[in-house]
Amino acid sequence: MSQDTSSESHSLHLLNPPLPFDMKLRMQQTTENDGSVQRIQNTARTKFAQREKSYTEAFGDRQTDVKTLAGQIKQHTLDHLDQYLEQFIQSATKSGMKVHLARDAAQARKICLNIAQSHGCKCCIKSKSMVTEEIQLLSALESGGIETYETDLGEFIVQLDGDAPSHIVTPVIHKDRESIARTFRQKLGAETTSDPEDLTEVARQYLRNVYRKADLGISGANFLVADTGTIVLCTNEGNGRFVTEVPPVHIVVAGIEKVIPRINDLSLLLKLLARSSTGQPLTVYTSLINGPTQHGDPVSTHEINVILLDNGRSNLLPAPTRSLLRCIRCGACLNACPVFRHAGGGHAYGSVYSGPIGSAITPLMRGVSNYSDLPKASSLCGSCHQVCPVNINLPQQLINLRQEAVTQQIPSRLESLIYRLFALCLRYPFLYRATSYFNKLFTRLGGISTGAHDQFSNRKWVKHAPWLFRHWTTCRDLPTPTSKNFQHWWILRNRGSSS
Amino acid sequence: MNHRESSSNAHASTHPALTNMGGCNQQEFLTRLKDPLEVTPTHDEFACPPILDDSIFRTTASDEDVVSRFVSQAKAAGTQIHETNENDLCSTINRILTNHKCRNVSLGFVDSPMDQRLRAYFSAEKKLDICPPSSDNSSYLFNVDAGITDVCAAIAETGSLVITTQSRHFRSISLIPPMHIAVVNRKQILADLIDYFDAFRDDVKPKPGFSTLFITGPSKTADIEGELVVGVHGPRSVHIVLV
Amino acid sequence: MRISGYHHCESIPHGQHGFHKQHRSSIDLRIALFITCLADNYFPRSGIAVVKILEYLGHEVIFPRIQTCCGQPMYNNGYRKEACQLARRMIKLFRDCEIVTTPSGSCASLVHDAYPQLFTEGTQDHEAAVGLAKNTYEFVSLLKDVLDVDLTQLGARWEGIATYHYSCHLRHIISQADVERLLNNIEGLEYRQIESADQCCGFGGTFSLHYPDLSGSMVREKVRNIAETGAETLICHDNGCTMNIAGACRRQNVAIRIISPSELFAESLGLLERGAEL
Repeated sequence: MSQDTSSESHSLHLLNPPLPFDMKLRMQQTTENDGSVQRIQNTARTKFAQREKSYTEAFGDRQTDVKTLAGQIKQHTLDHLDQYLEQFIQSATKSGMKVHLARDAAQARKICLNIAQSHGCKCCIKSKSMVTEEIQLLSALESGGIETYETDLGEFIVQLDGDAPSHIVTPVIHKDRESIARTFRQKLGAETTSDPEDLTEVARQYLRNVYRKADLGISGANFLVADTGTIVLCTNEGNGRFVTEVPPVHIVVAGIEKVIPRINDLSLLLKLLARSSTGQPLTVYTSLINGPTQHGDPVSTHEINVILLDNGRSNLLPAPTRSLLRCIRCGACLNACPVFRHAGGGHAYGSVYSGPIGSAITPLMRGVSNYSDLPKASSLCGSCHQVCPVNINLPQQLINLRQEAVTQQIPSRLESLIYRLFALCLRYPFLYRATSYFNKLFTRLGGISTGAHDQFSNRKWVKHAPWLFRHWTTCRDLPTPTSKNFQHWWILRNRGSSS
Repeated sequence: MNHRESSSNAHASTHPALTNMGGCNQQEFLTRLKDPLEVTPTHDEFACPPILDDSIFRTTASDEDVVSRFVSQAKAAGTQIHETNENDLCSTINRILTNHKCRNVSLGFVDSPMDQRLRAYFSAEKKLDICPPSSDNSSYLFNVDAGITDVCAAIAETGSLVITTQSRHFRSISLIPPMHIAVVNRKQILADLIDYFDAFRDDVKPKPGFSTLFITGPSKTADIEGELVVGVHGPRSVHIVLV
Repeated sequence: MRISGYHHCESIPHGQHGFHKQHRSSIDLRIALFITCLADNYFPRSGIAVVKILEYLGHEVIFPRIQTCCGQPMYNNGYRKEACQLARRMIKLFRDCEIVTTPSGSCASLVHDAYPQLFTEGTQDHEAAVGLAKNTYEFVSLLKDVLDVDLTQLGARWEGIATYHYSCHLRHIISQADVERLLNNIEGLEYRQIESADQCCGFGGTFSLHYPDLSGSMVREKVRNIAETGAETLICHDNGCTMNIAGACRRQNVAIRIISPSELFAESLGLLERGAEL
């Protein structure tokens, strides 16, 4: 099963747009469909609430301490990443796994194809993995003559449609059941209603036929344990297990940041992952894979390959941005972020990684000047930091990126001039007072009075502000300063009391 | 493990496997990481990772009624629980199979006596076909109505079954058939995930072919409009027979 | 730092409430007010309320008149050098003040979190920044944590149905529950919680100008949630949020009076006349 070229290029365009990426333009498209926006909002809100409930039940007052500890463990691993990777390579190799190192996406794709071709693989089943989207593996496999099937229900639908996932955890939340039913009828020839149970049954039967013939399985990994060389995979549908248990050859593609030091660290991190993602104590299936099976049976996994991927992650290793690599891809920040919800979900970010984490890592991995819109599309509310299980200070990272953009002179000269002039006015009380005075004078010219008698409450409201402030008045009125300001009050009061 | 030793071993044995599929040389790959890391004050000595202080993240105390907690958590995950005793074990399993009109099953027991007991019971009953566990071709599992296994542990905190397996048959028996029945002894129930990683340390160290599975309920998804559907790729139902 | 006890000033009019007078031992503090550029020009009443309350409690308010702005717009938008200049100015101005208070949670949190980071550790600037960070209190947290104010004992009274918007930058300063407790200590106040009270209103400073559609979508949701409470008054905890929400309420014809917590407390103690329109 493969996509036709036009739908393939559509999905590539969604996640690999023309650069520099124009987020406002993209948001015009992603917020067009009200139903889609509503579904994304509802899912995000539900998961946000479920996460909250589950954390309170599990950890009560200790929530902050738990997240701090998890953050410290991940930070420590990153601080010694080269050493832990070495340890993982050694442990995994000792267990009989073959470890490969890919500096970038092209090399990772090449390794996968070489492995597949060396075994004469013809049919590949894939489980959901952000990193395989990142390296655009699907199209590479198909171009290499390997029939490839996404097996996660959401990704399966995305593949059939030539679409792209809109959320790290629930990839097709932007689609409604009718459109999914249409896809199944058209692309699979299935006769089905639009009931989610019927649709799931269609996918189950179709893919079970594929599982029987698959000779290659490709998955990601949630964690890679350095001391034991264990691969950890957390899934809910069971397709992840098919991919890792049935075909004779298994390839794991994982970012270098997935390494954790000890097997016991899982006792903490597993508790946090599913709770942060969907509010469950654990995902339905958590597999700890320690090596290939030994029976030599043609349909069991007798070779496991692990591809450790850099692809720009080493750009984040310098100390100021290192904490971003702690991310365990739970999606909690997406669900908490009001911008994600109002922007129409993951497609608005023009990258595999969306939401607050995507806004921070995408510019660093793909170029600050290419994605300068992303760090600015945030009100810095801090919800993301509050929910992050590994305590990443995302708002600070976004501010740092804005600083980097200024250093690289990315904002327009006009914008920079305005901020600098504004700062100048604020440094000198005389200029500050002059600016306040003229601001009041000009904005009140066009305003509608509230009629308040108190000069410290008397203001006007402007319906259509000019120039820069026109953006404000697209959706709300702009208040003008009051007739008299606080400084006036203070002066008057002290004059009064001293006389 | 002393990591200075391990790193020198790794250099000594840079496996051809690392590069023969077109991958990067280990030294080249890791050098790119070392530059930003060497600035870190503690990078010179291999400092120990932070201590895992249980008291911070334990969710289920060992002195809690772990059986009740396990039952309620498992039910919350969609598992069906059948409480019984040793004597009635076989008949309980038989009843589940009969109620769901199962004709053939596959057994995946690590505990041989339990395996023998069930086989004896089912052949006496003559109602069920037991598919052989060691066939050359595991596609037989696609035609099996139920897979029956024991477990190595169960976790009360999450309502999970823990199955550590070596052979492919034991692994996929809890995946491919539409029903999974697991026999759990009350004594096997641990309070918290922490207890599993403490008690079963050796089990999770790499032994060739070993894998450990945590199973928490039947397979599920909420991918379509956020509506929960139970029974996706894995089993549609999971039954725990608690003895 | 915890100071208990307060002094009731006989000379301040009681207003129409007739509450009890409490005479306790007094410890007078000198508290510097950092008014913030927004409050100075747009919401002076919130600053007036702060002064009146602190003087009512028996403390002296100092107001360095040459103050301007903490530099938040510069800092948040990446103009670090300019932010440093404004921070230095601010630090110098309030250097000798033991307690500094501000009605703005976002400005207080900038001083706490960002100011120390702007300067290299070990330098005098850094030391001074840390010093100011320790001495700066958002006004409601000053009342609760430093002055230990008990509104019930003061006889605070305010009749009406009110709701409350918890601003994002209060997260590390004071919890929503703590503020709600203070509101519930005011006799006569019927408090109704907004659904998702702690959800961002969409102001985000210049975010509201850079991304008007996103900001607009967020504030519309906030206004919907506020309107659903049926409250007549919204207690809005940060001036930026107030500008945003008030403007959106007007645009959507949602009639609601919006005041800051300091104004509410001042009204409830008879220090400010209720009824001035926003």
